[in-house]
Amino acid sequence: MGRRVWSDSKVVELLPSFVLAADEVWRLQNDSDPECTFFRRSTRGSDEAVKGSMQGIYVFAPSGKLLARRNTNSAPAVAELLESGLDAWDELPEAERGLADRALVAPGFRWEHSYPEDGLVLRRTARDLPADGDPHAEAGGRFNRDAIWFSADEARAFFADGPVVGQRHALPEGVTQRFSLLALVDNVGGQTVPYHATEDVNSELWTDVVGIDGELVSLAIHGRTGADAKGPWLFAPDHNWAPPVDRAWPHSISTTALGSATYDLAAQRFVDFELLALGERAGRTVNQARRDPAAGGVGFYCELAPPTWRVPPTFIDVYDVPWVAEPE
Amino acid sequence: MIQLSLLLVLALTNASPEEYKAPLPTAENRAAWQAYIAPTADEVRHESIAWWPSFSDGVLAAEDAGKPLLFWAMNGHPLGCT
Repeated sequence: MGRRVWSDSKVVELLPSFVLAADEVWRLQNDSDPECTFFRRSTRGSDEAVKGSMQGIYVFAPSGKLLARRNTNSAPAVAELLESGLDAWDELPEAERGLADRALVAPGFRWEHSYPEDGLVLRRTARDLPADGDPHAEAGGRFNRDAIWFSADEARAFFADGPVVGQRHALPEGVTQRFSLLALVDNVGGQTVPYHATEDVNSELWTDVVGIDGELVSLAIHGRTGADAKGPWLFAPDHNWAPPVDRAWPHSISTTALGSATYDLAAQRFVDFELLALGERAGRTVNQARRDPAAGGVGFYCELAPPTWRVPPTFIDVYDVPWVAEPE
Repeated sequence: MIQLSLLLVLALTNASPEEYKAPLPTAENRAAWQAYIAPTADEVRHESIAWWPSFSDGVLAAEDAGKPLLFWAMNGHPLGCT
């Protein structure tokens, strides 16, 4: 669904009449906590899990009464949807508007609960590179965001204890592979599947201490990442991300990374972080079916995320670290 | 000579896209590539809108505000990777 509909002047004009929320729909379709069953009862009149996708734009009364719904990339169609939703709201009797009990929408497990308050949260943007290799070309086509989360201990592991200028430090394998297997992956055109640890190809990232100013440690970041999936799915067969056997296609990626960061020893957190990675990708995956899976260039830009942006990483469910709580 | 030309033609026609080589990031081109990859203000206009980050947060806020809820749902969080 196009993000650009939210720039349309007619749509923007209508937004103040609503409270706005956005969320990932797979969980709402499948999980069994009150928030998810409330969503399904409101949209389908049933608690049953839903196959397929319920992507779309919805207008609800807080009671759960569905007022309008549509899945469209068309701004005029969204404006029409919002107007029809407001009309339905106006006609809805007062007694049918309100939420009967706040517990009805109480979320159970959410990955956001593991947000690393004292750690490092990066916002990653991915975009295809221009064929002519000119960074001054006008950027076009799709881009995609994703989050990368590190605990406070993992963030501190970006450099050694007792930093001195000139010190080189290899990032721990788990930190490096969070980039190579889960974050610097080709999801420009839509969600992909995670790489398994055994599919990492010689990834190595390291930092050089390039300056120390009081409590501020300046780092240069260098290295390369690579991953190569031959095809067969290597995680558990019933894993959330498991593709159908006949669509477990080969795909690969490799990047060269360059960046800089500043860590505040007093605050015990990064106060600046930028990482650029440019590379080659090939193949496609079930969720990210490129029309042309031939090899091409892909670029990644990672920066400190705004503190209000708490969207969990797509592959948080394969982080496999103790500080990320797992669903029961 | 003919043999060389043939080899050249074969090499060109068989040039696999897998031989694509990405540019290397350098201190000189880093800012330009970061600017290329980062979305424009128009591309991320939706991020400047005050979305509640979950369905439940939205329902409760709509209840408190006495307004209808506009809910945007996607495969993958609309404000993240979709």
